[in-house]
Amino acid sequence: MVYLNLGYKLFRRKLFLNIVLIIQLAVILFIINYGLGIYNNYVKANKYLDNFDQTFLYYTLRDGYNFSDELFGNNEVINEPLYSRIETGNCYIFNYGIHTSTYLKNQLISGRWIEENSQIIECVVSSDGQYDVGDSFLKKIEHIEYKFIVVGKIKSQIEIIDPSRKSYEMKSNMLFYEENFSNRTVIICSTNKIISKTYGNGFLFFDNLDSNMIDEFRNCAKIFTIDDLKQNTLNEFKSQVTAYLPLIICFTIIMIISLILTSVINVLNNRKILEIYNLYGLDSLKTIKLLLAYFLWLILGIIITINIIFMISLILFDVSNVCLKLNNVLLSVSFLLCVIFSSIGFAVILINRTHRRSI
Amino acid sequence: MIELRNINKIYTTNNREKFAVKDISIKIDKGEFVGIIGPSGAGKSTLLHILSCVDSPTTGVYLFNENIVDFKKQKELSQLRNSTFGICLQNLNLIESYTVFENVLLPLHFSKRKDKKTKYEAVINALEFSNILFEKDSFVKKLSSGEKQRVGIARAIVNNPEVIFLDEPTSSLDNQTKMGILMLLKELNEIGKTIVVATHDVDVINYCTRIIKLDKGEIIN
Repeated sequence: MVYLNLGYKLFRRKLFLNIVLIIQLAVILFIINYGLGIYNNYVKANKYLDNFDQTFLYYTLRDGYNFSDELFGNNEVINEPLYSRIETGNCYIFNYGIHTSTYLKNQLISGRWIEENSQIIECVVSSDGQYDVGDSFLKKIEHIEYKFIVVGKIKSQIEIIDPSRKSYEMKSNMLFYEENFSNRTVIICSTNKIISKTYGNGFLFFDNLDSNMIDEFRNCAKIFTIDDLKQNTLNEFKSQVTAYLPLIICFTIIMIISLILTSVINVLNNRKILEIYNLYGLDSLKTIKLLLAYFLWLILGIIITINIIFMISLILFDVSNVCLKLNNVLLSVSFLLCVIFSSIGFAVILINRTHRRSI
Repeated sequence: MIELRNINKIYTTNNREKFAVKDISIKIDKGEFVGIIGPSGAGKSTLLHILSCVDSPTTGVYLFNENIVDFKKQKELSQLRNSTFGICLQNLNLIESYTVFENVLLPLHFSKRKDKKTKYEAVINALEFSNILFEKDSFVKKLSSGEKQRVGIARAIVNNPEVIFLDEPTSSLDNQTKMGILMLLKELNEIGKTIVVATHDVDVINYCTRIIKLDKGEIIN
């Protein structure tokens, strides 16, 4: 408690300088976490693909073409086109094929996941919606009324597949992503009763697939295997890193300089006081305790500032990439520990060596 | 109580060695009021710094209560400076942004006393003894030189030390304030505290029971 109090006095003594330090460190931490968040998203998008345990292809049909049964031969193939995302007021309906929907790893809060049923339209709904498990309701889609029954509930942060995304270099992060539907109702169903517009893209699931078949498919569609999607994602990440390389180098240099400056400023800022403390009985161990207490106040300031930055960023632009992941936490903690220990080490050495000269 | 044997302090500048104090051997007994005098640059402050364990000698032996003080052991030195010695150096080393109370409380933060009430009482007693209690809640930067000197002395005595070291305690003080400070030191000596003062002020010398005269770092008999 004594050291917390003394640490606070050190913090308060040069309040403006400490606030500048806090803002500097918080901004650096925010940028580090933002960058890491982008990387996390690539990793996460690729991980979705690991869920697909069957042989799987993503396709985009060429104009005027379609897959014929002859093309599949004797193989058991499930073709599940992606339908459009239907918006009715505050309600969003996603209609996936049963296989496709199974691979979305939305965690159930209650109930069960949808199953194929020709009689009724089963659906899962988001937790922020108006429906509960067991409810049935009517929904009008393109002038036709459908009856849905709710079999499960999921969180409002939902993993979805965007049916409209098409690219000649399709990447997994274009296909799978998370969206927050808080205060809105999301209905995920799997039925061929609701046929809405398709974009000519979808998934093919095979029991067995050889390279000759893929070549045949390529005549009428752009085909992507799991490896293609992963490779394209990696290539995009690499190209982004390369494009921003000068910026990354500059930022790294600034970060190292700021880290050193922070340490030096911290020590010089409090040097005289620590020397006086040393004169009246502060030894090396107590110096460490005192500086740790001072850094606790600094870290508290950083936590508050980083939250403010995050709130402002949420309003100004999309920062959903910044996730609380293990690598984010580890990197942030490591960065702060570097600043703390370099400052403390520098301070202890400097004070033990010089206090006799300057007092 | 304190014994120095063949103490040397050498500073090296531009590869040239300079003796700040040279072959000093002295003994200070309990209850003495010792004055270290000499012209500027004689080594008064250096000797006082060594005596108070603020600085370490280059060579020689320092004994406190017949035990050798090891200047490599920072923790031991810190404890001596905190509990056994009261130190008031020339520039006082007060923290301007702290109040008088906070400045005087400072040595108690690092002492073995844990009780908040005892600490508070010790600070009040030290301030009262130094006649500066009325400025308890004032910030040091707002005080006059004489008041700051009293705060410095209050901080030196707050932990009830055995020996009090003062470096030029009356410099830049008017006559009236100076006499007040000297009376304070006399009272401390009368209650059994050993006092060591580095000074070139004749008025201070008159209060001393023993004088150590230095010139060019050496004791002049």
